[in-house]
Amino acid sequence: MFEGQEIKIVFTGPMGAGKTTAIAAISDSAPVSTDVDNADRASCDKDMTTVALDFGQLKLETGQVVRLYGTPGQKRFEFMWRILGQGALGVILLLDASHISALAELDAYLDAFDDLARRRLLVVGIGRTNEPGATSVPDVLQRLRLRNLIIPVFSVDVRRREDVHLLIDALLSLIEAASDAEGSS
Amino acid sequence: MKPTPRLSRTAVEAIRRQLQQFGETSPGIQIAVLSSADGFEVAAFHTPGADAAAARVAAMSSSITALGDAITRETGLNSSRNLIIESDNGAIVLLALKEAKPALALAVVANKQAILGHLLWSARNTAVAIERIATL
Repeated sequence: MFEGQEIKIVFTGPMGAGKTTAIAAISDSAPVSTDVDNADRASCDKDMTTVALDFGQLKLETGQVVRLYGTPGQKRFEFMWRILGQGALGVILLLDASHISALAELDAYLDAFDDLARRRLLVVGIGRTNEPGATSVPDVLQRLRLRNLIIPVFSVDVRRREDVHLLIDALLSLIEAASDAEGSS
Repeated sequence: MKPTPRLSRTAVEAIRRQLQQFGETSPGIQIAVLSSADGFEVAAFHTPGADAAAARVAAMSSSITALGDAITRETGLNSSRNLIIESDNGAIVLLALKEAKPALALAVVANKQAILGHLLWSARNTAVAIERIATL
């Protein structure tokens, strides 16, 4: 599959959802990161935040290399979403279920990556679903249905390599299905 | 978790005056924005009507500065000091203020009236002056 084609996928989602962690968990070599001190503790209480991109690579069993790009989470870096989205075959949208506005954040990122979402080239990974009061996978699925989107949603812990692999495998299947459909039409 | 240092209101005002002096004395300057490493505008000088651009420049300058750092780090050149972007209509100079606490970046947008060497020199002098204020 994807012979002679570069596979570029983008990890996106709000600040603190685990984009940098996910790419670090799965990348074959140490990722390129652009983390700086986080001054905005009100939005997310963490030491560092990504301001340009994360970049990692993953070699598949087929020998193909998947290039993994992570976006900054904050809305003020929206221009980076567009830059990184260029040429992307699919998007992995990560959410923090314990975040009070997780569903609104879902909407914001679906808007930003609307084209890929409508073409079903997007999967959602939702973390911290077991925390009290957290948004659940069915909550997310219902929200997606409201937008007429049928998209896979997984409960994940992006610190675990297997979980990130699951998201990537699911997305690659969608990309393959879409390219097959295009080829046969 | 380590607390993020914050600049006092007096420091921000002193920085704003520093940027204004720079903007008014150095030829061709349209925007001079000081931002936090994570892209928030701290203080800015801009010509009339360029205020909306200033906030966007703050976020973009932090991304580009971080990319400059990433490429120098990856190639064994340590961290980057400044970046210069030249266009048909002018130039943008981005300087990292590494000594400042918190870390800051200065972005200067200038039109064709600016001479690059002079722009870089005066921007660097301004950066040093701001660093002095931000490390007090």
